[in-house]
Amino acid sequence: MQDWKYYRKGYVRIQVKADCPERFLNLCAYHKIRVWNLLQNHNGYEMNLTVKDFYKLKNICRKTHTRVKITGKYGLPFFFYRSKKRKAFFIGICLSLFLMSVLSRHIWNIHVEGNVHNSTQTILRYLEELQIEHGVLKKDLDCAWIAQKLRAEFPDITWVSARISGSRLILEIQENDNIYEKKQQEQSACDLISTKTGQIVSMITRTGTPVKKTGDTCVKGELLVRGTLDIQNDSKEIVRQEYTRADADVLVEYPLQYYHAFSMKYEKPVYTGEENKGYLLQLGNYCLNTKKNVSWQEFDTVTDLKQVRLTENFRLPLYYGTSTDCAYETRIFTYTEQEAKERATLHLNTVLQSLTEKGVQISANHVKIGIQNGICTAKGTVSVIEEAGQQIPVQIPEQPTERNTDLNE
Amino acid sequence: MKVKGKLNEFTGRLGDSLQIPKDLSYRESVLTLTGSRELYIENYKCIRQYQDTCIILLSRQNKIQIEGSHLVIAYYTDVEMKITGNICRILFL
Repeated sequence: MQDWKYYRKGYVRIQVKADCPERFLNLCAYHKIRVWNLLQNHNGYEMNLTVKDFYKLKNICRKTHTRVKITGKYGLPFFFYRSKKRKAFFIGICLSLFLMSVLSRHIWNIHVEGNVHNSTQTILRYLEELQIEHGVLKKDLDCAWIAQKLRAEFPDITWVSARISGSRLILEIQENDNIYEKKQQEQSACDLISTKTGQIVSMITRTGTPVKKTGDTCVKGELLVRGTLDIQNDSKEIVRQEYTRADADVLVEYPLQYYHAFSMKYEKPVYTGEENKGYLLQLGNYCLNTKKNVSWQEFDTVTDLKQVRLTENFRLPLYYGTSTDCAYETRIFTYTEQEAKERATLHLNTVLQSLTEKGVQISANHVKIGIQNGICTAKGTVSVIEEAGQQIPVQIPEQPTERNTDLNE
Repeated sequence: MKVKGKLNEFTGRLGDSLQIPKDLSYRESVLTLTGSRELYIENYKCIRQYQDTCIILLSRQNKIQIEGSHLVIAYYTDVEMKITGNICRILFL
């Protein structure tokens, strides 16, 4: 820092010859003349001092009979003096300072951190809708307004901090990991009917009057739990009925048909190893390709593109990369018996896995795999256990109004 | 001279009793040596001799002789000095 201060103000390196140089040095210290990099060589003493202090040496030199010779001039004042004929250089400096001052008034990097559920691109797209994008003027931004808009648009964002640091707009976000959406509890009365045809293997009723029990069979649309409660008096007579929202966990076991067939012969591309590689430059919709034309009938094209970006999220519509054509021939292969069974088993397991992920339990698997006339067939039934209750609203008949004719009469 | 020395001794002891640092109470020089490559001196009086192998400084109480090779005074003012180079020996004369 001190060096920059001296460089900015300009300093000289002098050579001192005297009968008693120590006296010269002590007088310099006495007159508060800052001296640095003092060394002795065969020519005498050399030292650095500022231009301002150099002019103070006149009296000291006269007193000590010292001869001073300037060996070097350093610093900005001397540099500008030497470069006064280089007009383009100074114009360039002025222009760069002007550009820097103009460009520093804009936002060139929008940095989003702390987001997990909402991707950075999603947030940036929303900001673009609000006319907040790379290059926007800093004075047009209202950080509090941006934070408020983000919180309103993304309900899972619990806290937003927007601040401008230099040419960066920094958005710090905290999201709620457990998004709790309160379900609208409908209070209207309803029955619970079956959505599957099969055998009930488990039935736990929470509210309502059960019509079926565990072990019974049911068909699709059949009533499982009635949405009415019979209120009885002490004589076990039904006094009245109250309507409620039937709720139960009903598991129904039913058979699921499975059929999958495929030919033992299949086509597969075999790459010949011939490649045609070229470089690609894409600017907007214009594309420059250095790849040669080839006469292959069948080939795949693998393109690897990278987007040019100035800052972290400021991407330019300029892409560069490589494009490679790989030639191949389509050949026909035949599965062996083991390969065919493995493929059929793999497909079956994938289907069963997707059912399991949906919450369906697999109780039995009766699928058989066979090969006949060049076709591999997997068919049979899979017994599954699935939740089969669906609530449907029930019509509540109008309660008869109480008799008040006597009063009227 | 003898009276001045006794006065200095008295002021030094007085400073000790008041827990004043010794460089103030005895008006001693403070030498901070970093390995053998750098020496920082405070409270010196003047330069007596300067060569690239030997520097002699005057302090309030005595002379300080610094011997070595390629000795350079990085900077100096009327109260402090920084010497760099290969320092071999420091003598109090």
